[in-house]
Amino acid sequence: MCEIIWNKNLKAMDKWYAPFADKIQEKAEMETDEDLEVISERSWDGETIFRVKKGERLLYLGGKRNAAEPVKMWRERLGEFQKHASVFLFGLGSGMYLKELIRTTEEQVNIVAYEPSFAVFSKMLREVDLSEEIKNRPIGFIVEGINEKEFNPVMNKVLVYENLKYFKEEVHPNYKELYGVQITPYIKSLFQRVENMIVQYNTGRKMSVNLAKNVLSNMKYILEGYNTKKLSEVIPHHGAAILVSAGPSLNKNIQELKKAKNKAFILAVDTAVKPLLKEGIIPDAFISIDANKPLHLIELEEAADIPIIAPTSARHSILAHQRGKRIFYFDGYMIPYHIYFMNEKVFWDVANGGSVACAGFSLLYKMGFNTIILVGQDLAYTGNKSHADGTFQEVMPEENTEKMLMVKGNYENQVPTRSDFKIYLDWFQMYVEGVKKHRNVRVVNATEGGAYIEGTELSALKEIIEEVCQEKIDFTYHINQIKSEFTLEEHKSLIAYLHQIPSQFQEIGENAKLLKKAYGKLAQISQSKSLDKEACFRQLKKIKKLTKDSQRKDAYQLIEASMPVAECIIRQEMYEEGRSLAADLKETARKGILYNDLVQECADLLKEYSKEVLLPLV
Amino acid sequence: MCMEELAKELRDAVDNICGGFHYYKDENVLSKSQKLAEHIQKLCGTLLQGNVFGMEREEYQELAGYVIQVLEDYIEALNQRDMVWMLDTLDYGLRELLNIYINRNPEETGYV
Repeated sequence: MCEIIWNKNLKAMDKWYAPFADKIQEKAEMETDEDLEVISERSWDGETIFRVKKGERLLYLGGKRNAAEPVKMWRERLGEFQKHASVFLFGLGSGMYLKELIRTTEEQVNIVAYEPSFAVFSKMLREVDLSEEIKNRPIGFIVEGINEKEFNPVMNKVLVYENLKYFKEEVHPNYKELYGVQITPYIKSLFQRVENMIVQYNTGRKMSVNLAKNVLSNMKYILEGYNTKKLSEVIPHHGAAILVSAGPSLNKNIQELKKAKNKAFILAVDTAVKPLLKEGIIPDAFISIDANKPLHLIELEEAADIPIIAPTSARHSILAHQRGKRIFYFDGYMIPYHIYFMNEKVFWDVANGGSVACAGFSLLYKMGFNTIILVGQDLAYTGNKSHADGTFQEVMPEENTEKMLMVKGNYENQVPTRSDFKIYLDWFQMYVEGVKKHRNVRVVNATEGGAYIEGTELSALKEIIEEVCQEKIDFTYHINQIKSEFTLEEHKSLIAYLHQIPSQFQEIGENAKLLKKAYGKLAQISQSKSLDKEACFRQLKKIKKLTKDSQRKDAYQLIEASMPVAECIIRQEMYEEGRSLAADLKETARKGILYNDLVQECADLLKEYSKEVLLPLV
Repeated sequence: MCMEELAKELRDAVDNICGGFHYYKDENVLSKSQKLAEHIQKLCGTLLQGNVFGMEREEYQELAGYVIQVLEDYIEALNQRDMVWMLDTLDYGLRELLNIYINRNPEETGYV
């Protein structure tokens, strides 16, 4: 009997994931390395339930008297699922929860089912017939020992910002007891993804106003051809680098940094520039990423000669203020990317953890430093302040931190922090773990307070400088040696490319007009008494073609970046359901018209702006 | 406390534990259940003291067997720290015994 069920289940799986089914078969033939026993029983209400014997413990995975009703109540609690929602089920037991989920949701609902024990999974495939449920429905099965590496790619595919509000995560009863250690990293990575998407969206919303304008205006500096790869080629990285952030503890040990000048590569975040200059310390470079960063943070004569490192969308007025080298890295924008790509060159990026310090840390790692010292990296409200004195204000105000989130401190048991700092803290911990694993980088936290970053070594700044900053290096001299990425000949072709960007905006605007017309026609069709599906199809095809034409242009991305809120609302609503086909089409048409209205308006504005900043380039 | 009152108190606690888990994802099942030990012992002890309801001998033996099973399950679920076992014992085992003492009004049924 077991063999029959096993074969039926594997055959049903084979349709969707043949290599996965093969791996199960292979693994089942091998001897188990799991130290547990899975016992199958029949519950009093006639269901197949499992008990797992692990060491001294013997735990039920389904109710002994009544196995079915708790599953029904669980399903009731989850409520209705929208189409394209994503559900992550951790633990399968005897498959009752999975079956109920498949049975009661539409096929567009993405189900990812993770099982930490192959023994439980294979027992389920032998004793519970799932073939009917899975033969017509692809389920994202992830089984430890079979394909656990696919968890992140699958998660990234099914969990996107547009369906985030419908996302659900459930752990099978008793799996936390049995497999808490195995499950936790997956749940963490799930929530990390959710947080990242929220940060990305919020950042996009915050930056959207100036973002496109920054990228276009910064093109004249990007053409100079200085990038972070070129920087890393000229800077000696056998010594240490110091990342100076603007946390409140910076005031406690800032003067120590004088001893590190010309011995360690000092990279400051933009907000730390003023306090450093006030102490007479000129960093070797500073990094600025924010599209809306206030200029006054660096608006000092002495700051103008410091080289700046920035993504292409960084605030233009800050870059324009600088006389020092402007060194860029790739941050996802197609127009700057294209000028590298068209000359068969690579435009390197740095990781984006959400804050300027995250980008700075990633940059130092990519530049090859194997000792990175953090200063002023509080990621917390040390002394109830958000930033160091002398940054946003001469004396930063103390804030009420009573209701704030508490995290482990460097020198205190717990320190208050806010949710965005906590996201950066989690990012730092993840990144530090990675840099230690991949290159055994030594990360020393010399911040005199703040949150503890897992994986860092704590040290007083004075001591670590004495230990690692021995050799004299003139970093300014080395930075001056950077050569442009582009030859004169290449430069000419770049200018030609940039000169045709305004006409790209023009064409996108014209397409938006045509799209509005096409959506209008779609609305008319949806209102006719008998819905002409053929005409609908033709119209949708036309819309698709026009949209693709616009999306193919590099300039289109800047339009999208300028209106993330509108785009997101429209895209989220696409996932909502409950209407008839005609009503759906009418709604699609209404939103299509609204959206393309915005596209047209944006394209017109950016056409004029790009004419102003790109056409004078020679 | 008379048996009816004790049974009602236990029923409310069982509703709270099981309803809390099923509808509000409250997994604090075992420590809450542990606090019911004295009441459960008293209820089962009374049922095992003798045939107070004047049942047929065989029927009473069946009831006594059921009571012992519930008691054993309760103790083992605690020993094993098995939440699933405990929820099943309380919701579908103990609840049957409580219903012997409680004359339920229709509006009193259910968790929510």
